[in-house]
Amino acid sequence: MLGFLFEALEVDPRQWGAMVRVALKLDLRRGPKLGASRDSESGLRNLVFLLIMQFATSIILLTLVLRNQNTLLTSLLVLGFLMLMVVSSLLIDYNTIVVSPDDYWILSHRPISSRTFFLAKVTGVVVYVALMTTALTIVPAIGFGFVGGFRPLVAVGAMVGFYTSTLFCALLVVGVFAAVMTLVRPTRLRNALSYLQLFTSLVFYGGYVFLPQFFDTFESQMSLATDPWLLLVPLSWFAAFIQLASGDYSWPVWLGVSLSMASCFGLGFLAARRLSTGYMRALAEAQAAGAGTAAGKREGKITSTRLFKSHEGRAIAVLLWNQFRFDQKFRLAVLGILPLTVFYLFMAVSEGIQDPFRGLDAAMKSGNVLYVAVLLFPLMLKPSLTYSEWHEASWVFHTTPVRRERLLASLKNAVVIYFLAPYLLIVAGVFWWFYESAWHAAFAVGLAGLLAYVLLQLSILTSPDLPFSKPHGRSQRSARLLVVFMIGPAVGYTTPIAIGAVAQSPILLAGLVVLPASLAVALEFLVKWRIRRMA
Amino acid sequence: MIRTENLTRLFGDKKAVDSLFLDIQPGEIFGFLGPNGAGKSTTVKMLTGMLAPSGGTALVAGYSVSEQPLEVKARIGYVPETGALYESLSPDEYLEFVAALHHLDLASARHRVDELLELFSLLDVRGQRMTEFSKGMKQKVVLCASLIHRPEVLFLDEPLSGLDANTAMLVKTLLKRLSEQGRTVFFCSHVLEVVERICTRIAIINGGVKVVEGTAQKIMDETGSHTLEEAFARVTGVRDAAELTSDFLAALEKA
Repeated sequence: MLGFLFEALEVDPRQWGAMVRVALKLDLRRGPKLGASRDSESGLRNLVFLLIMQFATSIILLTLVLRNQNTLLTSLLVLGFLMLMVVSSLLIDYNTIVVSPDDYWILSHRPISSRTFFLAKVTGVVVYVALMTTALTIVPAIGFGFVGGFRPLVAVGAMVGFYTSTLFCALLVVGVFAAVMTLVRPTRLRNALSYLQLFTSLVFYGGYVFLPQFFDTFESQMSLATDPWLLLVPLSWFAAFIQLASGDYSWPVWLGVSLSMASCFGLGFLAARRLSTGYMRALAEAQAAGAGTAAGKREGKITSTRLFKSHEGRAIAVLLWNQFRFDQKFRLAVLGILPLTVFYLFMAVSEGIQDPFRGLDAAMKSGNVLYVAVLLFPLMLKPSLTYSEWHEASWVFHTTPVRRERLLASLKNAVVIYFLAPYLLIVAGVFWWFYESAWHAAFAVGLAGLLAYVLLQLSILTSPDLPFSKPHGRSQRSARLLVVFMIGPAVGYTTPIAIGAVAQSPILLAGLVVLPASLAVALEFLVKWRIRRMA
Repeated sequence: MIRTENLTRLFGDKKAVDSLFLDIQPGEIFGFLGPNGAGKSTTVKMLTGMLAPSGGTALVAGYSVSEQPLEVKARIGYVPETGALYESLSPDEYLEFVAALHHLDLASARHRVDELLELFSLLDVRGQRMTEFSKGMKQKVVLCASLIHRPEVLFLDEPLSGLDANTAMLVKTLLKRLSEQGRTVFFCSHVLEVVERICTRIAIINGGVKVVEGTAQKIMDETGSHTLEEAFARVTGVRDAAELTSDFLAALEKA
């Protein structure tokens, strides 16, 4: 059966098997090379951490499933979350499975057909997606089996729906990447892929923000049989599996199931027949175009380093600013955070922003999500300052008389000066407009900025890595983002509430600032101490 | 064994390789020289099927690189200048992987892996991951991977990079033996003494255009030079090295 399939797809099974095995081994073994502990299993560790985090998240999904008797509503919610998680992981951590520069030099002169190469890539993606799907949905799927009595078939239907939905996501992402590779001019390919990544991350963040609100508007009695218009939303195609297993055999349910399977087959067929043939060539052209046009496009200009007095500070300022100017990936990682603010601003404005100094009630509606955005900004930026395609160039830090603690202090200062401070100014403007008090806005933004600074210090304390010194690895950023999205909102939401609680007492207000300020000072010493110990 | 006619490659408006004609016979070690950015690597990428030509034709081992790239790739070995390999694997794992891609059965693959690892003194580290290897050790593994399927044509881009003197001597001897067996070697290097010593014929490319071709002696005669180094400098139009260094040293003294 498998042999027939390979023959039909014109794929070499032996080469395919060898490539898939090696790709998985590499991902699980890939670890840091310079300036960090020699942990050759960090790829495995990252993946396990991500899966544990996703499993923990699945418990929350389980409570949702068990609390609501409408399986359509909850399955749409779980599917929405699942598909967003999978797509964002594919875009953030696994895009190099599809477009890897290493493969070009190692594999492109071997006698591998484009289709074999492409299928090996798709298989790698599907393996990871299957792991993520299992971690995120096995518990909620079992939960579905207990809604309205013990119905194990519903649990099976849920798993089928979940796996089909993420297969759809995987094929869609790989298909879109491959289509972009074959349609866009090689010289513009890298930029096109980066913008595609930015666009889809917008969808991810948007989903993160809007999905809960969207589902709040659903009516609890909604079903596919009575509301077939729901089939316009692809999520419902996959939810139809659960409805079918629950005993709903109405035509919209059958149509949903058919649409889900047809979409997977259609995407698979398109990828196998059209995209796979030109894939290897497109990859080669992209690499060659990159090499041929990278130099001389923009003239280098040394940035102003007057703000930095130490030699390390000047070096970091030059490095960071020029990475932002010339490294498309880094630039997009920074710019990709900004849409989050726009979404949060939109949310805050739609909920109404009140001055937290007016008391606890007002503090609950004082644009809390904007505080979250301020706190998330440096935390999300930190990984982009550590991982780089050109990580091997960090040997320069090890062979020059620089002091690591000064380098990291400079890095932190540069993040504050170049990124956090301008960002805080924008938020301050928004607060000033809504709070109608410059002093209140300044205090709120100052406190949020101070807390962001503390979180940045904590982030450096936990991983005191040299700038741009580690290779990108699978699951790293997804796992970190999950942690960030837990800490950021927790601290962010409570900050204005704390202001509201102590607004009447100047002493307590001062204490609210002194506490994180003291923490910042203590962390400054702790970071230095840890770095000295590492040396 | 390698024949190109009008082989051209454009990057946008820029001609990286311009109407290249080559005719390399079986058993030749062909030196392909040029300054940085001259078009050597682009030529090699086209001949190995890694990059499609913009124009012209190229036959390698009797097959067209444009029409039958898989046939070409099955018959060539390639050592890229980057020395790229999957460093998280051990030499054993990497070479078995490459053997599988070339359809070698497991028994033959293991036998050849043993042979090559012994030849390059890598038996002791065969199970270690290559992340900890020196540049020279990695280069040895890349060389093993280029030879494991016994290719008819070898494309070597700076193959001696990072190798110790003993291994470099071993590789040079090996190349001569391979050419005696009728295999063709396409040799790119900036080490002109080595090229002069082992290559049967040499071509120098500059700005994508072949400027001279022949034996080392013929090139020296044609350019009125005493050494290949001098001939290379003349045909690629660099400033006199002595003049350049004295300018630099003078500036250094002032500082």
